[in-house]
Amino acid sequence: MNRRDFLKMGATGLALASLPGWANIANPERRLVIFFLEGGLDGLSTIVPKLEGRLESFREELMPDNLLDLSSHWALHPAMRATHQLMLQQDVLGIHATSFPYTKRSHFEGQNLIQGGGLAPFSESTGWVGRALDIASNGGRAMSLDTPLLLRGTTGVDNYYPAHVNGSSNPTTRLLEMLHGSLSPEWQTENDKLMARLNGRVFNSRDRSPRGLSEEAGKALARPDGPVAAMIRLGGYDTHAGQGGKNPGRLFSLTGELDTCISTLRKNLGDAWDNTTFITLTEFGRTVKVNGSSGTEHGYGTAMLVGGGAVNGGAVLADWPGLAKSDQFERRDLMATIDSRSICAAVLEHTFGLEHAEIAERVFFTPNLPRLTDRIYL
Amino acid sequence: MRALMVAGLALLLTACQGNPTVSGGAGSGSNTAKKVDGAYPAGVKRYEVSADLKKPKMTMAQAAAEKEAAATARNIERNKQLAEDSAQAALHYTQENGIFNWKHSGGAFNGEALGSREDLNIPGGGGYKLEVAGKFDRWDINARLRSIDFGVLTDKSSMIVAHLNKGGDYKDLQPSLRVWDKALSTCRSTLPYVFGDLYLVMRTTNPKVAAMQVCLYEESKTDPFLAAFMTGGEALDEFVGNNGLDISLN
Amino acid sequence: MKTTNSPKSPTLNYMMRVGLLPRPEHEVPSDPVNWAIANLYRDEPTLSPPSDRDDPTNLKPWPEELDPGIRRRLINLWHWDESRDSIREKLKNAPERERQSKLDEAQFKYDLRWHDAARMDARGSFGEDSVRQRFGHFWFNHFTVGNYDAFYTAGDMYEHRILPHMNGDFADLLYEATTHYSMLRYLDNVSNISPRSKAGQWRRMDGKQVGFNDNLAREVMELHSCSPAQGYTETDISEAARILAGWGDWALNPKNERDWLSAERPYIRNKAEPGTKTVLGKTYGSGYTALKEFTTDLAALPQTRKFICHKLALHFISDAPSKRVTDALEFAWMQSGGNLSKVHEKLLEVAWTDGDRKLLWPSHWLYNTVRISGSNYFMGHKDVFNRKSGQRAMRPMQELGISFWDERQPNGYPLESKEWISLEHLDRRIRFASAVYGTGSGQLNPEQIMSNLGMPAEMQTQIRNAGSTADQFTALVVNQWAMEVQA
Repeated sequence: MNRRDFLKMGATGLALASLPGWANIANPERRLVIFFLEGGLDGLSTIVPKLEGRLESFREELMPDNLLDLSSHWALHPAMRATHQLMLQQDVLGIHATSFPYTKRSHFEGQNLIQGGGLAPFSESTGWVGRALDIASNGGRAMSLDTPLLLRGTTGVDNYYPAHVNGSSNPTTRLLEMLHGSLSPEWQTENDKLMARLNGRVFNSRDRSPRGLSEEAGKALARPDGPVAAMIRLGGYDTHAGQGGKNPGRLFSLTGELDTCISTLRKNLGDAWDNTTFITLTEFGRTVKVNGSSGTEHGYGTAMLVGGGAVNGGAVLADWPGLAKSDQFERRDLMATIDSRSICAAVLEHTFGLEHAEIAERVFFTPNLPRLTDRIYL
Repeated sequence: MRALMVAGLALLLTACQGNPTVSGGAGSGSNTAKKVDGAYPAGVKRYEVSADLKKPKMTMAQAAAEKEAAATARNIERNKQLAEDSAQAALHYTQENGIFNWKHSGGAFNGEALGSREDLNIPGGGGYKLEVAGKFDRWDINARLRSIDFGVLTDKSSMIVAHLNKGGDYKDLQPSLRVWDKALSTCRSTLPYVFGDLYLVMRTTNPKVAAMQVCLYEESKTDPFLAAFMTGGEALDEFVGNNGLDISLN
Repeated sequence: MKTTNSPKSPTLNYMMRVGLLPRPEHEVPSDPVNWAIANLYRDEPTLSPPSDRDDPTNLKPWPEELDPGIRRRLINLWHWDESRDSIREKLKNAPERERQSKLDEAQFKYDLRWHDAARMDARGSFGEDSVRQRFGHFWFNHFTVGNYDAFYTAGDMYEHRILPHMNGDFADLLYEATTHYSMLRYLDNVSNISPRSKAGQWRRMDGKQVGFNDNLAREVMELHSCSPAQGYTETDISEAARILAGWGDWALNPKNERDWLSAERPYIRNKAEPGTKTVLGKTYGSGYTALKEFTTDLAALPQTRKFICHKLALHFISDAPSKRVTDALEFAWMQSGGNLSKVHEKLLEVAWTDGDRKLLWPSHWLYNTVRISGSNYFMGHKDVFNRKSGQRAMRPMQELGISFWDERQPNGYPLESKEWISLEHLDRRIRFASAVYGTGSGQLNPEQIMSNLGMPAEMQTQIRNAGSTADQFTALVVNQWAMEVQA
């Protein structure tokens, strides 16, 4: 099983969150991009702990050749050439043995939890990015439910996925105005957005590949009055079979796709890259040991990438838990020793100018959440 | 996200929320006991990229400026070395900062863009293409503009590739195509990305390419269609480049 | 601008809620609930115009050879695997385009997915069994099979597992769905191989890793039956995976057919895990019968009843089903021992009296659009003559984000209205309205449609003011009246 493919946020999809015109935010030029890797990224094959002697014995079949070296300790997956360069240029930081505090291995609960950012799956009806944006812009605005949970809590979120319908014509603003009155209120809101989009002449591209969406995201965020946050969804990380190792398999295409998205985003952001932070999120890592079908099962600890002009990159940040059976979570998964919410909190602190304490308390409901901001930003 | 939550599931789950799924493992800092043969010390550590691999951190502007400066310096240096080609190129190009710009002007071009710019996704290089359709004098053309980075920092050429309509006036163009074929072989063109269509190099950093383009012009200017295409190339280029045809987010 | 919440006749509203709107040639029932209950069992052949260029009243049965049964499909899949390998080998130095066109040709010969997708749309456009279809869609979504490999046989699963069993005991439906090739393939059970089995040992000798794959085991419990509310453990899941080991193989090689229990029940003994397994405190023996026992036990759990009844209510009745509604369904379930015909019938009764406002799935909206306008819009079986045309046939539903032949996660498409409201969805509705108007042949004009449906006068005026007939048509189907069911 893997990707789902649907319109609102397709297997790949892009959602953008804007601040209302009156919002007063500390550094309005700062931007946040989240690559949401659906299915559970195998962190051990993405950022490889080279000195970990046990890795080979657990998963020889999954070990890629031609790793991209970072240091004596770490290397990057061979498909991530652009990201590798960005790590060498100190623009990207790897975080390893990290996870949201979710250990139950269900995609649906996990994806909900990492977007909601609450204490349990399905406990929140808003997302952590949405809540932070609300606090940063003095809040008090209506919640919009038609958006990815991650960004919920803010108004002005827009999903983007270009249409390919044979024999149809583009809607015109005249037609939309005419339809308005006979639509239900929920649809009227969308009608307004569609009209704004037509008037703004944005998103004329018909390219709906992940690369195309990253390009749109980069261009939109680069505008001074553009959205402040974007989420790009990439599917297919649930590599139960044919993950690949010496021979490129599914993970090779997936990390390659992510790599292209990152470099495309950077290229299209241009100078705005200096003010942007991107992070990758995934619901969980995967088992240390290879399964019977050259893949891996749902696990716990994984790896994460944080990048952008302001990020203190060029390193891997980890409290490495080891891979001895007794060091593994439930004797099967990579242990998580860094709470991913600390990374998210750092990104929110930097991007939206919020205090860590407030983020810990009001966004993640975890007052004692460790602060890692100084280890991530310059 | 839309499909994350089957409401039924949600309801059932809220029933057991007294038992949150937060584990003690993450973020508790307690996992510092056993380490594999000391290679990875305990505690949150920053493992720097090896010094021999590390590159200086730069802003996008700094990076662009550095790249540009390095390219310009190398171009100027190389153009000096290829003095003979540079001299021939000078017949129809102006040279500035190591870049040759085609200097003919005269023909007019009327037309429209077909779609928007598309990235060429050349491995290790860059560039885009854009199709336009329109008229030179009495000739219909579909032109594909390609701006191509040949992958090396310094070798950048921007050329117009004109794909000729096979209908209508195509028969009339047969003599022109014969002239073009002859010119190509005389000038020993080896340019990639041409697909047998007409092309005109508008800008290039490579004097050999410029010299060859000059040769092509000289060899084919007796033909009225080819002359219109080459002398009007600038109009076409300007039409494409300066008319806001690139999709804009403003 | 003010919203016009235009009333619909209770009968049309009910038809939209549990079925589809009538085509001009269909009858509007005088006793809606009894009509719906009878319709639930209406087992009619798929009748549709062979081509999208044909007159929409020229209905012909869907050709039998396009539904050859699971055994034929699985053998075809084996042939396709073989020809793929041989084409790749033979043409390995040929240009990519040539190789691909040979591959496409070969796949089209053996793969019926495109016809299957077209058939569903043909039914949606022309079928008079609309209630049966709606429940079919619900259950096909409940048992989502959503990846490329599963689509070889997904049409067979809908036709021969979902439709014939969805009005029987839930226990049987669960077993039928779990043991269908598409499900076993989609949730990786084909590679759930016991390391202790013969096949496991052969694989090990080949130097391959062998182990259980718990993907299907997890989803059978989490998504198909009792849901996490049951409170099972990871151990329960891995034990369930041991029960499931041995079910499924990649294709049916006719020479090895004796290794299989049957094509319908693809149990391969030499991949199975010997010995007993214990799930949720109950111990199961070895062999293929354990699975039926296991799914029957899952079906009997109270959490299964609650979970399924809630989902049904969510899809047909309300985005926030009341306890009264779910209690009624659960009561029908309990009284009948989990017989879905009783639950469905109860639902059809409750839907007449207790239905809330619901937004229709975009697929049902598009079928309704085609139906009320008397159009012939989707490609017919004759229009699908190669892989490319087949892909075209699939496109409308993919564009609307609700194709059963699109890759998706095993929890399927969401049932709540709000999940289907977005700018892109609005954009698609408008585009499809104009596409149906522009390319669907034989349709009525907006005036005729409005009068057929007895639309309120105020709304008719608004639609007439929309301008060209094309825009009038869009105004006719992109509005609250046509997109939503009323309370």
